[in-house]
Amino acid sequence: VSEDELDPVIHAPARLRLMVTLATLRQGDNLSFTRLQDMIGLTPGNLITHLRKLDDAGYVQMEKASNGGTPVTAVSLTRDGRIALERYRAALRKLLDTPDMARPQ
Amino acid sequence: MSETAGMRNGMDMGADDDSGLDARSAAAIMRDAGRLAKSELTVNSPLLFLSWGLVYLLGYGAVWLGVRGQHPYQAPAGWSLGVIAGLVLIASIVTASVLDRATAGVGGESSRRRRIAFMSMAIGWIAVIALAIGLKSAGVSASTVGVIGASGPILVAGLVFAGTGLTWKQWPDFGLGAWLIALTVGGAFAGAAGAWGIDAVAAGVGYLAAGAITGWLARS
Repeated sequence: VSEDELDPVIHAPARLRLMVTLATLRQGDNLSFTRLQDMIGLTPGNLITHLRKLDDAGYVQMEKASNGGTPVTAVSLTRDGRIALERYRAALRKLLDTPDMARPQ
Repeated sequence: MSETAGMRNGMDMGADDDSGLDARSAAAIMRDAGRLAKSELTVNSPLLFLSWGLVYLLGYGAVWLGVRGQHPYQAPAGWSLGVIAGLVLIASIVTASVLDRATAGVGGESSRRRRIAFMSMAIGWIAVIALAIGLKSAGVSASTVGVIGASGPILVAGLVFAGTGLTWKQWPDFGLGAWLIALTVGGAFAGAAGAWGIDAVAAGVGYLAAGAITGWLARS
């Protein structure tokens, strides 16, 4: 197993944080764009760029919703996104368990 | 300005961080992001159970202290109802604060479920108060009205917890609901003054136990 085998869509710091954060929500829940931005600490521009990459891969869903008359963008992890994150987690664990990686540096 | 307006300008400035992530760093990011998200987005249920458990232990306990010497039973002392009202107010503030922290910006199924549970509880409690007032004005004995006043709100809470717990497979909630329903029935056999005392201890301990179990499950 090598790092090349890790899903390149997820294997980037910001997108990894996004995926893990959204995976904390229960299935069927979503998080507003602004709360997500507060938690991840990205500028709106950077956040939307990463979300679009995840959206293009089918890992997240972005919906326009209304909260008391105020328009909000709600972001959620798709079923494919959850599966992809689990696969990524398993591949990462396998990679870290290889003798080279397990050796303290 | 809408929340996504003008984002195109920011897209070219350091948005692409695809390079230079090794496996150990990725694992650290997953661990840290998971911890942060869990602490930010998880409702502190043990604190909620604790605050409402104290309402029963101290509030119902105060009423019991006021009525235990009444022969025959008349009504809770005004000061003890004030204690309950104060504790309910504090627990409501704690609940609102805990939920606001964890659920700000969170929408979807959980949000709908929570609204249904709160509305059911509120409607049930208002109905119990109206029922007690109606029975009193119809000339029903103070003792009977006392049992309804003590046990009615707990029965409502029990039904809501049991129903939502069973529907959404939240077993500590279901267990608490079943316990509250059982103690409502049992408490009624102790008469009005006894019901306040039994409900104070049994409901209070039930809430504290549910809080402890929920906290333990969250850590494990």
